[in-house]
Amino acid sequence: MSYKPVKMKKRNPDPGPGRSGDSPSLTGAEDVVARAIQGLGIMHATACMHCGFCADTCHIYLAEPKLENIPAQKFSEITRYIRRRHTLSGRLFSRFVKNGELTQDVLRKISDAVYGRCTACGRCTLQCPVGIDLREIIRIGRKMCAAVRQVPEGLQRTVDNQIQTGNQMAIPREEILSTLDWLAEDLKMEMKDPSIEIPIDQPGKDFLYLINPREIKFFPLSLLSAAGVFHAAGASWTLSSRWFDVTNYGFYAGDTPAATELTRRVIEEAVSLNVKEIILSECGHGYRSFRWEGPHWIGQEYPVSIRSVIELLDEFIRAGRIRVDPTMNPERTTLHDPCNLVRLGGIVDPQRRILRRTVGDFVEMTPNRENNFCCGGGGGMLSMSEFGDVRVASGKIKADQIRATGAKIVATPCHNCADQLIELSKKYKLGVEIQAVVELVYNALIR
Amino acid sequence: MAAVVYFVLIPMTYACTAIFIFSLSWHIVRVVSGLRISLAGSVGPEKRPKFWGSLVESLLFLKIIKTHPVQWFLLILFHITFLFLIAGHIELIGHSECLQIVPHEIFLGAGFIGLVLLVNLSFFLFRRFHSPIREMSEPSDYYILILLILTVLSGSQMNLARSLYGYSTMSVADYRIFLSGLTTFHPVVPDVIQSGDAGHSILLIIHVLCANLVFALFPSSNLVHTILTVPLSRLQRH
Repeated sequence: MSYKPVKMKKRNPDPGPGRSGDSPSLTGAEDVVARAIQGLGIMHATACMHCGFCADTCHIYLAEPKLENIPAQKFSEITRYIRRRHTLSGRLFSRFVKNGELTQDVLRKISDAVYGRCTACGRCTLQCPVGIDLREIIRIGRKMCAAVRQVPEGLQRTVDNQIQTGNQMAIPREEILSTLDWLAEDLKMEMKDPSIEIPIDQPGKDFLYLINPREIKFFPLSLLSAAGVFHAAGASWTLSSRWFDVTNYGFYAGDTPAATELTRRVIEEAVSLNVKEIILSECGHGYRSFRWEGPHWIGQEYPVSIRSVIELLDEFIRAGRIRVDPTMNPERTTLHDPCNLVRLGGIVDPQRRILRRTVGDFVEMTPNRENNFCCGGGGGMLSMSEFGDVRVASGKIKADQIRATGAKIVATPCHNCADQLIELSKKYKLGVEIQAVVELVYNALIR
Repeated sequence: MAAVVYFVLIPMTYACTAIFIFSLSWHIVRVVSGLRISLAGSVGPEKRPKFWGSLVESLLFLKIIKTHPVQWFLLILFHITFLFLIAGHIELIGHSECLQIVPHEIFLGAGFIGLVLLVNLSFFLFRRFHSPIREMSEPSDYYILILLILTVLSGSQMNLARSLYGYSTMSVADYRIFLSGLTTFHPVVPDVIQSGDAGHSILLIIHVLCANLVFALFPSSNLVHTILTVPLSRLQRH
């Protein structure tokens, strides 16, 4: 199956590191840097003034103020290598000093820093007076590690699951279909409408809805809510039973070939189902990877448009396709901004408009929007049990933010963040309920 | 001694300036071509205005204005003063009508420029003695700052000597002979400097030596941020 190529603005080809099997060779990592060095990209690492302004932007540093948790320190090994290998002075003096050599040990240090002490949330980039895109350097570090199979085990396993089975949780197709079946039955009863169905693999619909496998496994209410809202809006939609996963763990791992393959499958599925649009369920990195990175990976613009379900819900409410009553959600509700959706994705206002219409008492966290702190669960952290302590400890900043609002409900348009926030609520005794935005919309529906 | 003085003031100055100009040009070419490649491959939401936004953001250090107001003030002051310093040196090469719109004595700033720069540079240096900046700092962060401090200190002293205690052996005309000779490739070391009788001529030699080293180290130090900041901000806006 292939889809019609569409001409697009010429982009920088990024073939990625390539999967190097189990080879311990460092060539793959060196190649990643050699490719990155062609652009302005990684060269800017050498301009770091070590001013330390990035320190207090990082939730991991704020939770545990150690030198190695300062954003600029996290890529210091990468910078040393660039200086040694890709600058004139480095080349001239490299034979006299060992500093900056790329070895397996150095790569292990890089791996520990870029996966275990950074969620690639990009908040540090906001405050670098020199303009260094620290997140981009971290991503290059992840690509280096992926090229030599230095990705932490849990994250690599998730990538492999996704590549082999089509979804990150390796849920069998039968289980998916049976879950959707009972969800449809529940929805019929809830909405008192026996005609409701959850369409699967139906061609010619307006949009293909991609979901997070966690919705099938742990958060079925979120999927039920989406189906209910779509029904109420009279939307023409379908799910795919094959390639339905909105997440992309290849993106987290820095494994560009895997990320490309996952993107390509979904786009081909959309073309094969002849839909006009792909709607992404509430997922921060899913939005970032499909909406922004995907065309770059596959080397062309998509033949279908892509939107987040947040944009769609906003459109439904503003166009009057659904009517909502904020008194149905009377409890004080705050909003967590997922980094990949908001700071790195550009979806800032739609979720706020939705909540103002569907929630009786909406309060913002401080800081919020593009300045919001990461919950601690981003960057694939949730799949890497070896960094669980760092993840939960760094979530204290978010926990404090939530507590200060006095909210009883935390809405977040990201299932990854939702997982982390649920754990933070237990650990820090916040006593809050975590809900997807679509769940609040569904609650507020005037049926 | 005369040979050393001559070496520092003439051949070394030319060599270091050449390194500076070539490396700066190389960096500019590298930045322009790199920016083009990076912009073609950049992904994510755009931020407008792109060029003017990045220019204003970079030159006014807007990213830290709210979070670090004191450091922001000092950084702004430092960079503005640096511009005055460049203007002052242009006036030392030759008379400039446009720089004399507001009539003033040479050197520009009546000693305040050096003072402000010294305060700022000292702040930047002493800031590095505190954790966690101390642990983050690399040797180059220190030696560039120390060289800049020595350059400014010796330069200020040359200027203040004339205004504070009437020192007049080395005049503005002597500096002009030296600097204009360098820029027109007819280098001359004024007798008053070469003879070593001037007292303060040693300060000129230290000043030129340190400035030369800053020029020579520019390409391999993080001073390249001077030409990277605006393009990097532009890149973030796509």
